[in-house]
Amino acid sequence: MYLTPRATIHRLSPDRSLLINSLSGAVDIVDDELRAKLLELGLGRRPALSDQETKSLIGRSYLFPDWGRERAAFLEIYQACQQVAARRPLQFVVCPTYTCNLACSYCFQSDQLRSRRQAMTQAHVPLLFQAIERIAETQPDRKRQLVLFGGEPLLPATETVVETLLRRAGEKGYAVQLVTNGTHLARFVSLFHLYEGAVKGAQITLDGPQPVHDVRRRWRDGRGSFEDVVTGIEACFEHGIAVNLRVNLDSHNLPHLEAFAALLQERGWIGQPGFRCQLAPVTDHLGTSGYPFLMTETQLVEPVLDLWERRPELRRVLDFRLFRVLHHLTSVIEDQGRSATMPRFHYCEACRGDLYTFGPEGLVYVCTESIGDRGNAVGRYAPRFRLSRKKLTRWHGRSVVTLTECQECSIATFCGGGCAYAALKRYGTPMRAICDDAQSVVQAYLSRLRSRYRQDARMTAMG
Amino acid sequence: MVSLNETATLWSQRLRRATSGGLMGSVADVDNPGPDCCWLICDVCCWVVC
Repeated sequence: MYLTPRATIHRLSPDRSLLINSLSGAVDIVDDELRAKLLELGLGRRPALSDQETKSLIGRSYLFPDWGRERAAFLEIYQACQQVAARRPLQFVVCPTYTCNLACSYCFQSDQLRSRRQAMTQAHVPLLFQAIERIAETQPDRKRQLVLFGGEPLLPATETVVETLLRRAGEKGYAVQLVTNGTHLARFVSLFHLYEGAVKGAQITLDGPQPVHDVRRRWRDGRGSFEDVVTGIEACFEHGIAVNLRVNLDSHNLPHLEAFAALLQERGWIGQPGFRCQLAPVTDHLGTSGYPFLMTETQLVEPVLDLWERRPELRRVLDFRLFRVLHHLTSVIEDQGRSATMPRFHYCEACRGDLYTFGPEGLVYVCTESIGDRGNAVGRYAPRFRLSRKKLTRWHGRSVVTLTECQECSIATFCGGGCAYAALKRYGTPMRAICDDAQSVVQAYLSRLRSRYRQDARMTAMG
Repeated sequence: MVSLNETATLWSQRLRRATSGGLMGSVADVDNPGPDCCWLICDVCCWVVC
């Protein structure tokens, strides 16, 4: 029999261990006797397993007749994921400009990029929609979704072109999502109203209570943006536009999360149709920002779990699915698999072939983080449409199925192989894994789980 | 061996139901999202598909 390399075993107490399977999502507790047998299996030996043990281990996809069957099971899950993912809309991210009116303390886009005065013109719009149709022609059954992104897409200078984009999207029946800093939202909401039905929702960033947000997300002249953003959010509610609030999280605003949750409650946002609030760790995939408040996901494990133990009700208010590894672990281990978390074969949609980004200079990218990096564009839509199949294949061929480093990795489907753009910048090719701190997130979480398990055992013993 | 999650919720089982159309609601319909579609989120850039 062959033990999948996707299984890991972690001691929980002197006589109990946790078995985690990143091939099937199974999580089990085993005693010391079975632990010893599993360790032997891992070394290629053949310990004597009882019929019941063999049946359970096969049923939970830990054991296979041989390496080939294990690999086939892995590929079968991958293919099924691809099949389900193909039902999602194709996403076309449009940057009307790279310019941004804010100067956020942690922005991943370079100041040079955000200061570019280039904006899409009316002449770009028909070319952009022609390019979308060309790209999507091989997948006629998939819906198309337009995502307005930037820079900041909603600026007074982009109003005309945004209106044209909305009109064309409405004519074509494309849903539209916005990713905006929210500062000019109130001005644009009446425009969205004209194209009612096209704009499905807006992701708006609010980083905490006013004094915290205003230090982090300032206008270029130094003023805080809190009041403008709140006005925009409430204008969305008035017009029935779903709001996905994003909180970019690091050590600067982490201590203010409880106050922020109280603010959401006070303003009556929780419970608004379609409202959700997502925490997103501030990341620096390229390691070039020098931002002093960055926290790795590992560093965030302890304070976030502390907060949930103290205030469990906040877990429903502050969605943490963007903590990629931790979310997988907790949803499998603590929600008994009820949550809808699935294996991650791709780190992000840039490698899934579901997303194309259009810059105001006429270029097409697959990674939203790489916009403006001309050398990493995969083609252009203006003045003429052209895509480089060679460049596309490098991105779209990247998954934990193809990355060499992920072949035997026990947590590959929890992490997805890491950021492709970071790999490209670091190694000159996206076809390398970026492991970052995925393993240490697992360890930090397990260490926490272990102490909780011991505490529970003590409480039980005290009776 | 004590299982912390049911075998029916394992990825292979859930995906089998998904590919045979057994999921609840419209998996990727932005106009009519179903209860099983919440994992269809574009996670890096964080806008919500459904």
